[in-house]
Amino acid sequence: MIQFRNVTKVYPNGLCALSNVNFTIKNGEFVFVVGASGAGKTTLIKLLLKEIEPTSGSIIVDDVDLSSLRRKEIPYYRRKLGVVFQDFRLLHDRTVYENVAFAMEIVGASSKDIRRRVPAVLNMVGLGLKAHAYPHQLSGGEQQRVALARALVNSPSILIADEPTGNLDPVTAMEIMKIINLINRRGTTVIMATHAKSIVNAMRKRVLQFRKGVLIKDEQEGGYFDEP
Amino acid sequence: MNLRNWRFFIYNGFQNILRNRVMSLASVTAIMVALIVLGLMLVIVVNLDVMMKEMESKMEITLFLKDGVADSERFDLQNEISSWQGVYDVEFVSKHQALEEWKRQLGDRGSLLDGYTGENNPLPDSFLVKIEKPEYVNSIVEKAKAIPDIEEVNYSSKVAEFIEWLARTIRLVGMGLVAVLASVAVIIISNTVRLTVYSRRREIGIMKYIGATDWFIRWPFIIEGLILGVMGGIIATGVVVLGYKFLLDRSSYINARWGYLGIFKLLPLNEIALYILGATLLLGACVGVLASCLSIRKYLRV
Ligand SMILES: Nc1ncnc2c1ncn2[C@@H]1O[C@H](COP(=O)(O)OP(=O)(O)OP(=O)(O)O)[C@@H](O)[C@H]1O
Ligand SMILES: [Mg+2]
Repeated sequence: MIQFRNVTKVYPNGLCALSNVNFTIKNGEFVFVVGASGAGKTTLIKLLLKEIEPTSGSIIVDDVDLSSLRRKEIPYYRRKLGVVFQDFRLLHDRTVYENVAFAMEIVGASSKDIRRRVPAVLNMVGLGLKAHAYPHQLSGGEQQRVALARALVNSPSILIADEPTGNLDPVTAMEIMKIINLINRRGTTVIMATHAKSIVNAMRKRVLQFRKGVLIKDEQEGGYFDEP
Repeated sequence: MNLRNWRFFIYNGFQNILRNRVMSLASVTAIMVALIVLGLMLVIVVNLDVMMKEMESKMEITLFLKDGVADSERFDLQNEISSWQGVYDVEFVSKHQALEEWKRQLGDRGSLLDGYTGENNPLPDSFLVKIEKPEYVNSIVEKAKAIPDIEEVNYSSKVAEFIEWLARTIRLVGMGLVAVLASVAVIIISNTVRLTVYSRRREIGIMKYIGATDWFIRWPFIIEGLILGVMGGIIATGVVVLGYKFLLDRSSYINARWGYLGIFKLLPLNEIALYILGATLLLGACVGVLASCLSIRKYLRV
């Protein structure tokens, strides 16, 4: 469960990116975070990753207040999360397989587990045949699949995606969304920031809509339309 | 931490060095220079130390007699000392001879001592004892001290003192120089590691999102510094050892010309090489690790 309680984030330059935000996301939910550019979507995700701290309010994940996490505990907290970004963030000098295996190496998985788990995850995202390609040999959609595989390989309970389809054409974007939806159906909580209206409206999931840092709409099976 | 992690750290450490060749080369050169100076200092000091011990043992012991020892007693004493193990000559130096010698040393100003001749001579009579082998010195000194007629035992030697002073000075100056050069190496290596951190910042960011611990991210950089330091140490040892071997190979010439001094005897290579290798590797490793830790503290805000 993820809870934002009266969360406000003011950047050092005085800009208020989120103001007094409240919401609760239950395990297994699929939530779109939407809003125009600058609405505060990425800020929300950075707060969730504990990359930045809220100015006031608290963020609680699985009954743990993130502000109570000690520095040493942060990596272990992040292992609960799988993260995907618009720009994929793959390691260019490693193959698809190595990129995904890397995530398991970091958490200290055994070679045996890595050899078993990585191909399975690559198959799930449809990249079983490209395991030994390098990122530059892949299309954007394929690169995002690698990023998804990497995010999922350690079986996180929450998948966080910041505009994962931002760099993809509509057809490829829908393929990625199918995979994310599949992951969600297997029980993983999904939080996805986007301003792709067509995707949000096609999928009919819960929608949190922001405008200039304010949560203006929280709707089950919601849509995302031009703001009045 | 399991074994595979260490393989990862070490592999990455080497990768860091290869990616950043120019700076890595500069780093290795800097630490190498510092360690060559360390090696040279060690070579000189170790040789001087050994030389000093040998000198001390070879030198003569002076036994000062109490005033008013009768001639007959003195002869008996001289005979007794001559019979001690390790003594190969005992020479009597009268107070008169001692004063003359002192005068001679003063040269022009020898007349200063004119008032001390004859009855007024304050110097004691003495025996100059020459010794066969170094290991006898202590027992001879002990035995001499036990004799009532002997006032004082003196076994210091000017040359030995000079060599001691020389070794001390070289050690001091050398250590100062090594400290300065090592500091320069620390600065250069930490800069190199900083650049690597910079060039890897994207990867570091990704590792953080995936949940890598701080130490998992730090280790490759520490190992990078360690490798740079150790490489500097190996090269420095090579340079110093080869230089020393060159000198050794020519030491027969040198001994032929100056060997009569009995000083110029270099230690064999194998007695010195390991010593230098150990010292340079240790300092190199410390400098490298220290430098990368400094960089990591400053630039790797994980
Ligand atoms: N590090 C920062 N320092 C200062 N202001 C920032 C910082 N990061 C973001 N902002 C500002 O905070 C506001 C919210 O930014 P945020 O990145 O969360 O928006 P977003 O909804 O993700 O936008 P986009 O759809 O363009 O990605 C923006 O006005 C942005 O300029
Ligand atoms: Mg954004």
